[in-house]
Amino acid sequence: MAVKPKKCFFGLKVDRQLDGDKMNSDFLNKVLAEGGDGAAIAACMQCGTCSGGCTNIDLMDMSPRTLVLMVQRGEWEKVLKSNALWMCSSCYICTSRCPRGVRPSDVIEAVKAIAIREGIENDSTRFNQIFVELVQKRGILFEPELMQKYGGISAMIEQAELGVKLALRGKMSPFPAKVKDPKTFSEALEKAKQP
Amino acid sequence: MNKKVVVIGGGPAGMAAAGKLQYFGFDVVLIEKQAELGGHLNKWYKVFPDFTDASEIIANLKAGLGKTRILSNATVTRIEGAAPNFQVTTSTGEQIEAAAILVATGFKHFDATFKEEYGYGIYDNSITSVELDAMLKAQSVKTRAGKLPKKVAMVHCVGSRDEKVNNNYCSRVCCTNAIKVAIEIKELIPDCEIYCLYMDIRVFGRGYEELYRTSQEKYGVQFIRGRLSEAGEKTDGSLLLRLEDTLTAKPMRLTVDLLVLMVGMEGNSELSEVAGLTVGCDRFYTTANQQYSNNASPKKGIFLAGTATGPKAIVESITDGRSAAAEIAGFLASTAAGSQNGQPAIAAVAASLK
Repeated sequence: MAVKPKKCFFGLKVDRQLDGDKMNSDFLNKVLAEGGDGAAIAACMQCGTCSGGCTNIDLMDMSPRTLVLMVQRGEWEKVLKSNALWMCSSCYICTSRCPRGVRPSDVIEAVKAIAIREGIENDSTRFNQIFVELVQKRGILFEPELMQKYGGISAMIEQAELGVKLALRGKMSPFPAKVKDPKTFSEALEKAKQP
Repeated sequence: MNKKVVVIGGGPAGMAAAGKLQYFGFDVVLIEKQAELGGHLNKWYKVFPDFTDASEIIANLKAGLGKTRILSNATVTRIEGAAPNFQVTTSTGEQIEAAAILVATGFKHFDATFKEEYGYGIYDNSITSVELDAMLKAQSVKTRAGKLPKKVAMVHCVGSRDEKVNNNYCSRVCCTNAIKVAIEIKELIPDCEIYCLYMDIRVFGRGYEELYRTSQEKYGVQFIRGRLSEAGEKTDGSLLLRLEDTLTAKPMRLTVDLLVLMVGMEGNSELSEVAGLTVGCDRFYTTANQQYSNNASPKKGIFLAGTATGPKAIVESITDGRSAAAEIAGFLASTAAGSQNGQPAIAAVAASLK
């Protein structure tokens, strides 16, 4: 979901120039409040170590370095629209290498939480939602069910060949697995939900 | 043996050198153009990176001057003879015999009116870092209209790293100074937004990088990578800045209430004819060798210290002055011992200093 440049009359691009007067620290404070307070966002010196080591940078429309800069400057629209939030695999390479103690993974986590609360909808949030619901239901994931809920019948047919291969090699059971003590598991989940 | 040394320039380097030379037992005459010793230090409020009062540094160096004879309100008009028998004539008409001369005549600030596009001298709220420090000294940072600024931009490299004003070098202290004054403004006016417009942040000394980080983490100073291209005045007296934000590769417009130009250093070559000194293409005095003889001029018996040989921070100027003092002591000892190859007889040195 790349950000397309906004266009005005006759294809004139309207976001060619940055409006420095819109810079503010509101978004930064919001992200800090969302659990990024250990993320040291303000300390970023834009060296690019995070982006250099990022495992999913090829798929992102905004590098982790730029994302941190946008958070600093209060460009929340650009950040929330960015696919970098959902392409981040939380491998923590950026965080482990940052020379200034910035924690880009934590920044992304915090921004994601804000995005979800503001009602953002895309494939990634839907996938995560279904994934969590299924785990809550059974205590363990049953892949064909996830496939059916996320992609529908067409996705199941598309992936049927792979599914059969996996089942034949014993990599995936055609029957749903169970946890030993579903009751204790759901109790633990309930407990975890409490603030 | 003539044990008299003339030190020209009473700034940090000259004072530090004079203090050590008189301690070694030489008769030192310190010649200062102004009425007061201290040089540019007199203009500063606090000094980076640890916010030492500039007045404290002056007081400390003055206390070390001991028996030094101070000639203030005087300049050097003529130097005759050769080492170790110089005759120095001052503007007050005095003739001084000297065995060695130290030139510590410092630097001049870049005249910001040359960067016309920044509007210094044209727009009310375009000021230099020197004027800002005077405001900080008075603990009152205000726009020309007398209001507290809500947004302040610091422009790094004004008159430095710029072929258009014939200064290709880096003035070395402006980055750290910009960060220091940004913190001071934030402490005075906590809700003031500060933008540093930089090309590279050159904070190289002990504690400088830490100061940079503190300014970001604790004070929220914003750093925008891009050199200011032009400033224009709005009807309300604020300034519209045009620059490129090179971190996102997009042009940017930014309105600020106060524009601070971090003016760089320029070589003070006033003495080049009198002392027979040459300057490099950066217009600072040439030294005998930049690596291993950076306190000696190509002319025997004339030494150099401080920002006369290139931009330096206060601590570096003081160290450089003391290093020059050691060079001069060594030179005078070698002439006293009659040695031409710089291998003085230790006993002769000790005797000559008694």
